[in-house]
Amino acid sequence: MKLTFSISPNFPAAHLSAWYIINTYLQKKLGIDIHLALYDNIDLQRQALKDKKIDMIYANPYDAALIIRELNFKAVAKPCGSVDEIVIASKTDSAYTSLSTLEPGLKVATTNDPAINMIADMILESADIDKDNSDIYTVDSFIIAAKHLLNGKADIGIFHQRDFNSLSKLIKEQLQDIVTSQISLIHHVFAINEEHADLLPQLQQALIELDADTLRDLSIDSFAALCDSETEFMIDLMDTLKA
Amino acid sequence: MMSADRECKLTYFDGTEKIVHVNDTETPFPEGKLIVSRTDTQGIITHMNQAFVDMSAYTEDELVGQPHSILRHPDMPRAIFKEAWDVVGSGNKWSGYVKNLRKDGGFYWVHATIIPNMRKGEMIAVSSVRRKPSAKKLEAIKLQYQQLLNEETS
Repeated sequence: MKLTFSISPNFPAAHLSAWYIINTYLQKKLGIDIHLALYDNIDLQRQALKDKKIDMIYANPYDAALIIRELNFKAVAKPCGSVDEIVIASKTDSAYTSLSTLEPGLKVATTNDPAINMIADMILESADIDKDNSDIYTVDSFIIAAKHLLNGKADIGIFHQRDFNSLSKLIKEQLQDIVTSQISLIHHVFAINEEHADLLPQLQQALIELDADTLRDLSIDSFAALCDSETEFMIDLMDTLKA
Repeated sequence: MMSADRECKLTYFDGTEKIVHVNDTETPFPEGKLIVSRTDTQGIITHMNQAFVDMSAYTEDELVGQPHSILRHPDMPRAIFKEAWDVVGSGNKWSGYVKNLRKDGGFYWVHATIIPNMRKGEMIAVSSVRRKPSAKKLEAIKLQYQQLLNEETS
């Protein structure tokens, strides 16, 4: 048997070596061949999921409803110490220091991460900022979003908190955190297609036993078993955010 | 400084009444937080996040199993809640502004989105996300709600 495993395309390239190590570890633990399939963007990955080319996935919370409810994947585990929160930032010398200082007409740099952009929309709404009155545009990576802040192309940038924290000290010193989201409930989901549900207990145990050194590079403390009711609550929350 | 409490009588749709103590102390909605909760189809709280607990001033144990109307503020027009439950009960999303009552009698404003959680065509629960309201929109809403309240009490 050979399974295909994929991870959310939004992870920074620096995380890839850790995922290859985890892939190898899971192969040994499960005693099967596992191919790590990487996709350039979330649309390509979604198409591969629909084409049944992916058997196991570490999915973005935005796609949890798709994989669990539409494609019949089973939730296996969630990361501990790694919820999906966002940071909205500006340049240190910018007049934009808090949500209440923002005004329509802003140039907003963001990346193609649907979960992050959905949370940002909701937070920026309180400042009356939306795509109709501001230029909210997508760049290829969070590094480019940070550069746009530094060179004045953007007034504010939207980042996954994990990515913002991974910026170099030199760049971070030139940026200020305007607001960090505090939702606490949104996280990635490790899931397996129900066709391979017989592997779920073994896979879940293997993930729980993953050593902290490997996970540290991913800013994850550990994996914990994910029960159906917790998964359903998060999916319902994501549906409410999307509504 | 905490303002003086006043006593108000709330009347729910099922005809039951409750006396609540309210004051004019507003707790500002913290930037970046989202309040999340889920109830069963009878409006009984089953799930929440920490922001829900913090803003309500209750403990999690005090909230689980209670009707969501535990947060109902007497300054909210009954027509707004009726509209919300009618819309959600028919399987649709409702969005609007709500003044919530804290355990200590104070209040906080939210912009709420409520959706029914459907499974195989049946509503099994109701989820809600509340975020900081736009100050500009809230000013207009306060006037509108005052008019509705006046009509309900006249």
